[in-house]
Amino acid sequence: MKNDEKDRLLRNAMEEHGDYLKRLIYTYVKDVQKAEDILQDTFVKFYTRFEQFEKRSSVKTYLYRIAVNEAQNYLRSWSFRKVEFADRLRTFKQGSSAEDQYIKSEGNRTLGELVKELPVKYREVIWLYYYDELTVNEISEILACSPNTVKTRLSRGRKLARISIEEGDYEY
Amino acid sequence: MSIKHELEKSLPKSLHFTSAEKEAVFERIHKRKKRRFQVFPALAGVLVLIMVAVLIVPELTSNRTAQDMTIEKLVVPDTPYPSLINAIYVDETSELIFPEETGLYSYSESTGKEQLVSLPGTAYNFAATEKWLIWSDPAEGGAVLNVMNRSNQQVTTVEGRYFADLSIKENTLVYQSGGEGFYVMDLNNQEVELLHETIGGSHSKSALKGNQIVIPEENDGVTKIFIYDIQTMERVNEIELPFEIVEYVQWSGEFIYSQGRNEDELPVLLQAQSQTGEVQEIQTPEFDEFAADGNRIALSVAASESDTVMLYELDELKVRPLNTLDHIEERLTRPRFTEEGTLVLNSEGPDFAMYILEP
Repeated sequence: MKNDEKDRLLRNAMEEHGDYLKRLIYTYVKDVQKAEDILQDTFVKFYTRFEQFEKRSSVKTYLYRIAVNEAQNYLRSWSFRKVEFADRLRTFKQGSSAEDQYIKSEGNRTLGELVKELPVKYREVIWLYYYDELTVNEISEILACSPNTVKTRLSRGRKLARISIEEGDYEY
Repeated sequence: MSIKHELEKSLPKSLHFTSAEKEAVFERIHKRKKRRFQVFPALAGVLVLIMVAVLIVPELTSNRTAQDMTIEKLVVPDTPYPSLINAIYVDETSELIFPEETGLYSYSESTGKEQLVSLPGTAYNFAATEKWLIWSDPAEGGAVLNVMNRSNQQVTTVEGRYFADLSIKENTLVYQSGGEGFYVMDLNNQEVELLHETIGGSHSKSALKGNQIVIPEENDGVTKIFIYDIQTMERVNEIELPFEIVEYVQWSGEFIYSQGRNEDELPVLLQAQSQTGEVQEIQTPEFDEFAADGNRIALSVAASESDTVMLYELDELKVRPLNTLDHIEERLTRPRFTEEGTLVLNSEGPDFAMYILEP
């Protein structure tokens, strides 16, 4: 493929999916600057590995797969675990105890807050399904797992955030 | 109100992919192209020299194989790639040990896949030998270190703030706890002694070989590596590496190898002599990740539109390519050597096979 054509496809992909991908990455890393970095890495990889997605999947699922992999890699990285540890230590020093967390959990929290605290495997399917409006099959392709696994995680994720969802306040 | 709208409300405001960021992507791509382009004129000259060398000195080409290495391909059934890239290889039992969402598992050709311990989530901090399996679990207000004697399955637990960077040598565990430092634990009685108090952070884990451990610490734009003897508990040496970031610290004989880089620079391969403290740079092709053992260096280098791992032979302060991995078509990732010199690689083929190269 010619470079001009690749540039055009990249620009279209950035216009069409950039905002959503940045928000999705943020839900993993919870840091705006890091989300920016990972999003740029995602598009650079998308460009440099362009030939790999052709005929195998849509541009959208291919892009999301790169972004999710990049974000997950960061979460597994040594540097992230350092940051996470520093945060834990700070919380520990500030005395945010299990009791504080319990009181907070009993408070009137929003759906977003509840989802934010879910384990990654439930959180990611909820974001991909409800926010990015991807189908179960697309999510299974992105996460490299079976559609049944996606359905199970969606169901479990919904249960864990049931306080709001089951009240029927939300359209889904 | 829709769930989508509720989710959006939990995000920071103005989380958009801005025009400046989009341009930054193009800049990075064009920089890569330019870098490759700038290499071409020089490369043409080099190629002529290489062709001459190929005719005159055949051993300069990559038509060389690492001597006495056997390559084994292992396909671990029903195991996701993120689990396999964290797998460790135990030479004594020829088994892979890796974490999954439901526990820690082992796999070997002879025994197949077995669950070693059932856990409620993925354990990323773990270490294993033929005799011991150790992992940490988060707990209220801290963490629990689990020490399993694999011969009788007995598990002993130790409570603490945080347990990370676990390494085992025979019956001794070295680990990092909290921001305080590195500790040495006698696994038979769980007695603990402070080895090294930490001041700075690090992008690399420590590395244990024999009785010596090297602990990296970054501070004010330089990185220091501290070498300790875990039997005598004494500091053997302290070496300064002039890089902001030092990654993948590892032992190879009397040398300590690492990947040093400053912000926005390409990494360089460093070799530090553990006794004299002399630090030298190894000339390599552009690479992202490496592993070293003896005179063998595995580098993750550019290949076609992506990158893959290639094996090299160390010759003084340069590397020469070997063709040991050339026949493997899949993209290879995450090179790591065991203490016995076994090279372990992941692959990104459809079956996510692992390659084990034993010396």
